[in-house]
Amino acid sequence: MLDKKETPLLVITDDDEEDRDLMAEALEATGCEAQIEFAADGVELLELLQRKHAEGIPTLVLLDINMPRMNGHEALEKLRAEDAYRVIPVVMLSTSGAQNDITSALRNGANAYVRKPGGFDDLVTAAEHIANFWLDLAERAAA
Amino acid sequence: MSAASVTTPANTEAPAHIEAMWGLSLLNLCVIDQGGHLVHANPAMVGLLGRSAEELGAAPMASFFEPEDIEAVTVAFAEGGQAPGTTHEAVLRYAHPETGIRWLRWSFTWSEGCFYAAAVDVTESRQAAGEAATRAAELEKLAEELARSNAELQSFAYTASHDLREPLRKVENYCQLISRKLGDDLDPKLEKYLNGAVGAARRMQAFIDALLDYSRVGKSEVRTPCSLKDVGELAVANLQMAIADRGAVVTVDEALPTIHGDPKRLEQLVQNLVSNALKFQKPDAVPTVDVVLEEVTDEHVTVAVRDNGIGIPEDRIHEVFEVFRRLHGRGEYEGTGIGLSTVKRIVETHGGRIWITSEVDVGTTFHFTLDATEPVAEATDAETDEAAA
Repeated sequence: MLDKKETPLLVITDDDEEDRDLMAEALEATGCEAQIEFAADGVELLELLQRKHAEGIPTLVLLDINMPRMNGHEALEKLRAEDAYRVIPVVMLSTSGAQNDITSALRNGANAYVRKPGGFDDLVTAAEHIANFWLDLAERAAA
Repeated sequence: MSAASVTTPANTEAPAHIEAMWGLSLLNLCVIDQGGHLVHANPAMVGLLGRSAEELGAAPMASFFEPEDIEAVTVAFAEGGQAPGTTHEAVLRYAHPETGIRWLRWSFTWSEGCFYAAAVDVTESRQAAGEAATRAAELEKLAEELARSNAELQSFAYTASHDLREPLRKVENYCQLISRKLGDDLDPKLEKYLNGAVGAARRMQAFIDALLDYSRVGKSEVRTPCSLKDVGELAVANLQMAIADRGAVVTVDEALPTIHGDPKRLEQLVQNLVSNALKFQKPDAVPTVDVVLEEVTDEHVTVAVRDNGIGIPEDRIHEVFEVFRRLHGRGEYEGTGIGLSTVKRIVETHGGRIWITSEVDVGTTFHFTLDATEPVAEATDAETDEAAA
């Protein structure tokens, strides 16, 4: 818990390793100092949450949609059904602009839906929004 | 067994008028004995069967039929023989000595030791039915192929929208990431190269999007009444920036009528044509583009998009609607080369056709027709296949 208060923990869940790295780079470019963990799909995310449970829950989870084993929609449902994880802010991050993806993500309790932008400059802008709003919110809540 | 006669029914002293009728009848009539031999046939029947009465009487009737049908002939007559007084029917293939296989529809009844039979040649309607069945089978096969190719196209569309775009997104991301990382160390040449790579990736992206859009024209589109005048004005409004940039004058005919169609696609149709007209302009003239009504009939509406641009040489007009075809280098005039192919498909899915009249240095006119009839009421399920990625 102590650790969490000092540096927020952010989990990037994406099956695309390049996208995970790019997002981490983008967050770094915004000057965000969160501790970043990676999960390659919904199953890995849940395992990571269990493993980290003793230290506390993550400050923010970024969740891709199209992933093998357990996709973003399924992972989100699992998080929202679990008392311990229900309060974790989740930002869906996907290339999909399909209305049914957006609707079901928000209906299942995603806090925001961000479409993966084309270029890195736009990705930094998205990361800035994510870090400024969600991490700041968590910091205030903890203070 | 007596030799067959062509004059009177068997074993009867026929009254004169019956005999006259027998000879005159246009119906093909005959009498067959218990052993299956023809004993009498009227002239019409002799004509139908193409054999003399003597020839016909010399062997059991069944032997003149197609070998495959001989059993059927025997069975049909045996059944008929067991139920006297009732009429039986059978369609059997007769081997005509001159014209080959004929399908004959037989109607016969058993009475007092004889079959009284009438026959009609149904070969033509049989063939027509056979051809119709073949055609129906061919159509069904075509429909299956079409469904399969549509399914393939759908999966291609998904591949195009996701798998092809994904690497391009990465290229753009990495190029921008490199230029960020280099920061002040990025020399102008390197920056130019990186921007070149990003530009190329974006062009490819636009190209994929246009191709995808082209592949979707005509799929699950709506048919609602839409005013071509409104559609034209919307299209022109969408191009306001380009029109202002080029100092162009664009007009839309007030007389453009309302037809049934897909408003989004019709807007795209006019927009692509006007945008195309704006693109190929002479540098020294005020570009003018007019969207005008040319003709209205009960069946069709003809619209023209006319410009005073550079024109198209006659020998290249046919290339205009080919997918990927660009008549000019990218440096001269921008575009993906798919816009006019999309235009053609939109016109065709609206029951029309499109053609061009053009004169070099004077201008080009795209003429197109659209179906002006009321659509047949049909349940259309609007599909929501947005570019899922």
